[in-house]
Amino acid sequence: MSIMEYNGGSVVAMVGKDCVAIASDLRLGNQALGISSNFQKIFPVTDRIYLGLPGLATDVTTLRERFRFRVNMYTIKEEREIEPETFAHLVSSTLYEHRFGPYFVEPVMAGLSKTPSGGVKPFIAATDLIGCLNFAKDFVVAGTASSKLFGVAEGLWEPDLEPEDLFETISQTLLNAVDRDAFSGWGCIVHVITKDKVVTRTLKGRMD
Amino acid sequence: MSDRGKSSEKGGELVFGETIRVPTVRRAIHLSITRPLSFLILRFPLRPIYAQQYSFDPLSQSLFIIASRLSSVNLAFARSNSMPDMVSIAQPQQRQFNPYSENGGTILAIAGADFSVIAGDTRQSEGYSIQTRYAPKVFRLTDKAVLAVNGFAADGNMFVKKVRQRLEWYRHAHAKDMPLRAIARLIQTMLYARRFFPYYVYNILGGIEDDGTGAVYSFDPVGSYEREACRAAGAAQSLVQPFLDNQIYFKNQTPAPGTSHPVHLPLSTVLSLVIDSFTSATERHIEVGDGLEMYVVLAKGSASVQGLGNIRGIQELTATDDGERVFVIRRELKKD
Amino acid sequence: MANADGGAYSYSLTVFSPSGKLVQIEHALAAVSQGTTSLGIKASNGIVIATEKKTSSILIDDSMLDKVAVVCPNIGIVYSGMGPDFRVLIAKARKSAQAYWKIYGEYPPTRVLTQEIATVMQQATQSGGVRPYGVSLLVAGWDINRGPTLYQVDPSGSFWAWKASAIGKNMVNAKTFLEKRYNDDISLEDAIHTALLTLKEGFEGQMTEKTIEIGVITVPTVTELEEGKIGGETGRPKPTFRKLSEEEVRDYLAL
Repeated sequence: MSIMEYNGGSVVAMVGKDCVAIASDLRLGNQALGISSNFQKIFPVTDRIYLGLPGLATDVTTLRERFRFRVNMYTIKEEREIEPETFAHLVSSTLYEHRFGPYFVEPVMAGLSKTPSGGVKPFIAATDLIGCLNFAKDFVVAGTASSKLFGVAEGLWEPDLEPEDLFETISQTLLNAVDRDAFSGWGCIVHVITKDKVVTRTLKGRMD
Repeated sequence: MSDRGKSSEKGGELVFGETIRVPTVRRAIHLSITRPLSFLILRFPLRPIYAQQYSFDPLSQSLFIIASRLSSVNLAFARSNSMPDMVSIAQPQQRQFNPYSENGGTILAIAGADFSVIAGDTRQSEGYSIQTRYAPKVFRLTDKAVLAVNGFAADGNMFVKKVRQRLEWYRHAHAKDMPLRAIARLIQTMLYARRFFPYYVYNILGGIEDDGTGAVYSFDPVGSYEREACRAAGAAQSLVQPFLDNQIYFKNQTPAPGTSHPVHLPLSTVLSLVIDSFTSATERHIEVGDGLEMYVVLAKGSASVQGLGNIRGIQELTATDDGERVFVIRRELKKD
Repeated sequence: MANADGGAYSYSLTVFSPSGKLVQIEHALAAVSQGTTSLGIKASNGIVIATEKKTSSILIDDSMLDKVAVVCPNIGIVYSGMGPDFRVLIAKARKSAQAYWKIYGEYPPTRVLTQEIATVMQQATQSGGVRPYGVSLLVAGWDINRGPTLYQVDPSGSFWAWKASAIGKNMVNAKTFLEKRYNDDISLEDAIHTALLTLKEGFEGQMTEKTIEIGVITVPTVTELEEGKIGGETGRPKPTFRKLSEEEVRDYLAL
């Protein structure tokens, strides 16, 4: 049994036109047994950065606090908000610190970074459990339904989706992927991040 | 000395040919000349000489292991006979033969109202090596039936051969092609006949039923089967199937108020979905790629034939007149 | 002996004198003010830091002497005071910059690195068995957050941001000179000339490319930034701080 299957859960993030979206399921399980249908795995880091942590639930909670601590320290020390690229490196180095006794999570990040000319640039990234960064230009997936997410996302995603279309794409990708995964599902949550606001929607899904 | 005779035991159960310490064997054989066989039985609980250990679980696709025979013990004995009487030279020996391998690739079939599309990629691999970039996995059986086989290629090819032989016999006996649902049941019977040494193959049968409807039957390696509207199998099943759920069955999609989802999709839509599925699978799965073969089976007098005319490189394989028609469409897939 | 200046307090690093001073730090500042003059000027489109390089003998190969040091691609430092102490601090600063890079995948902002160095220097005023660093530093750097910034760090570990400052032997005169010459819209080219003029005041001996060291921060344009802060295949950012070569210094001196 994979350690990812102990609690289950999946996260996906996608790039759109001047927007990004990140979504996860809401299941917390104990192997085949469902425990909670309201388990948060996506956490806001700043107003413009969201972090998804699918994996071993105890590590999800621990890392969430760890990143909160390290981002707060950064914000105070540097007197500025952390940029998505910088945060991705922070995630990577934090995980690599535990190279030989890793946290069992596969983080996924989505955010908007500031460009030197004052605009915003969509940013997504994912790492493996020891922090190997993957800066994808289209979408990233993680968790027990990752192969299913890859298949559906590869079929549904297209470049330059507007926020509403991106929402539909990521929602359909996630719902249909987790429906074929016994360890993920039990409802979904989707965040669409644009320059002006973050829209968060909770989706109903199959409860089996 | 106290562990003598136990050295060949694991967890209280005797695993054959695994461990027999030389001094013990030699003494046993020596004694067996002068004493009754019952002595031996005391020392070594007897087991059948051709004992084989099976471990097969068709669901988890776990492999099949045949434990080695007594010959390995004899070998160990013969060799050590001329050697000094030392415990250390008698090493446990185990021989294994694994009659299965997994050759990658993916197959897929979708049924329409009066047609059926059966597709498969043409890459054949073993581990990280590509054996060939063109090894068909989809086979025309009759004018109304096409079979896709995925898993262990050798088993697949042999299985198709045997199915074709049975269909030939059927033609000789009945002077007609076997109906699709009968082929499906035949395949079940043939697969289950090998319940304890299965064809390591996932089958998808597509074609036209006697009532003229498109049909897809999918099988597991031991014959469990089901008629469906669509099915993916093989290496990229997990990538393709949820995509099909969404695009064929309209799962998680709500129709606009006052409308409903179509039950069957037109052939052109189905073909583009198949191509999209395989390009997606090729993109993300190393065992999928090189070439794509899509078989299209049309019911007698199907109107879908019109749409086929302008498809690049389409080839007709129909054998008989005024019946169902079979076509094949070939496309390149990425080779990396 | 102990009563000569700081009294009994002058030898204990960590004990305040009744007047509220840590006398060892005062002494460290005295060491700085014996060092050669260094200065820094922040211009509208960059920063210049410059220093006088003096050798005790003409036999010393002064091409080996480095008073302006690169810490990371966006930060450079010049010092006045004790050379060996500076060398140690630079090693620590470079290490700190690399440690930051290892965590965040980018080099530290000027203020963060300055603070790191200041912390190291402060710790030397409060730890047992050590003495304060006998140097003052001028830290020039550029970062996306604050643009070009110039900091001065003293042996006490205190630091301030400056538009222009001078440290070392001639700092009082140099600062007065800079106060007269400085304005907010000075260009980098003008700032370099002002720096040389300021150094000339009270310069002992000939001012040549061998006796002057100059480092500059150039502010990257928006287009340069858009092309990405990671410089192509090397993965290294395009440096915003660089030392001027002897030829370049000679050209500036000739003008």
